[in-house]
Amino acid sequence: MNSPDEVKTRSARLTRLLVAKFAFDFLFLIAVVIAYGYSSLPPPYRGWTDVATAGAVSGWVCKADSIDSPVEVQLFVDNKFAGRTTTGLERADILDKYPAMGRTCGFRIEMPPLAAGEHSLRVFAVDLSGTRAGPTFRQVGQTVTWPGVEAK
Amino acid sequence: MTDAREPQADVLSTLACFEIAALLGTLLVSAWAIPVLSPDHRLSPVPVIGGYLFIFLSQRIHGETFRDLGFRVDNFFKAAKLLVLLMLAATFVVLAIGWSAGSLRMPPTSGFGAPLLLPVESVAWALIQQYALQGFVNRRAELIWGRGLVSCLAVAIVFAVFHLPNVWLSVATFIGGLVWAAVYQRYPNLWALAISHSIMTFVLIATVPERALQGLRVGIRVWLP
Repeated sequence: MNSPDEVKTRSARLTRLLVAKFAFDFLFLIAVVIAYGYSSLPPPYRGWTDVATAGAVSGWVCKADSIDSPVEVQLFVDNKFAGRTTTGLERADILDKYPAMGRTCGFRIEMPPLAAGEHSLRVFAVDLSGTRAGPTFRQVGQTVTWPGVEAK
Repeated sequence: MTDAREPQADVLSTLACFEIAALLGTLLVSAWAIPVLSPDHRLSPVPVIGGYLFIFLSQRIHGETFRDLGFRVDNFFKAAKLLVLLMLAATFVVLAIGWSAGSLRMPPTSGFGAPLLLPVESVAWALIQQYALQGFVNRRAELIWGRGLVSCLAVAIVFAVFHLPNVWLSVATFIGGLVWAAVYQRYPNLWALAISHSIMTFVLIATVPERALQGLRVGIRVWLP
């Protein structure tokens, strides 16, 4: 049978061990949650959809953490997929205005023929990085309302 | 004298409760949270290693030797004799279930679960589990409730809870946990229990329908692709 002193010592050591274990588990979990949150956030994109003509939608976009990497952009007309391309066009005007942007951040997506009447045009930058299953879509600029061509 | 002993027993049994809870918490976090937060499994071993380190340090504090824990051979055959009959009964029942379900098969030689069929890997993995279950949980349960049915039930419940939400596996591990805990309390021998555990794992994989076993997955992984 253990003496009271032995039990007291053992209890104290066990208590310290339990406290250390809980502290380790808590800190580890916090670290994992933070790492998960950080890796799950889509990288910030900067760009704008600035021109829409009868045949195409143009704009510029680049990834803030790798400005020279090409970015895939997709066009949605009335919330339906209408075309895709990759940035690569030179935009000296953007570089003049925003020196931190990439040189070849411009894009131009051909538009399919549209029926008469108004249409909403939205361009998205597609991001395949991060831990989420599937791509992340980040809208480039604002939704453009295309007035359409009146039927003759 | 009796009054002086009771507070000591109370303190140690209270701490034993916390010890079991601490280990169970770690195992549940590793089964339910880490697979979501770390899908590439890189961080999965960390809480498990931490859990086993905790077990080892706790055993050192309690002054438990390897022989105390069951790493011994003198009572191996006594433990094995007790286990054989129980294993035969369980195998008969599981075979009957497999026969009626038409799921008797030779287990796969590759893919998930295949390493569990290799003798060394299978016994090693079973030993790791039994070391934690009997060498730690059972011994702490004995501190709380003494030897007997209640402490054996506690061991079985802990083992089964860890295998949720895989229902079949939880039922099997509850029964197995109960039997192994009882045998351990009678003849503490981890080698015999590990061999028994690995044989019963093989029997389970070879008889129970694969859909019911769900690839032996536990925790959130049951529902993850």
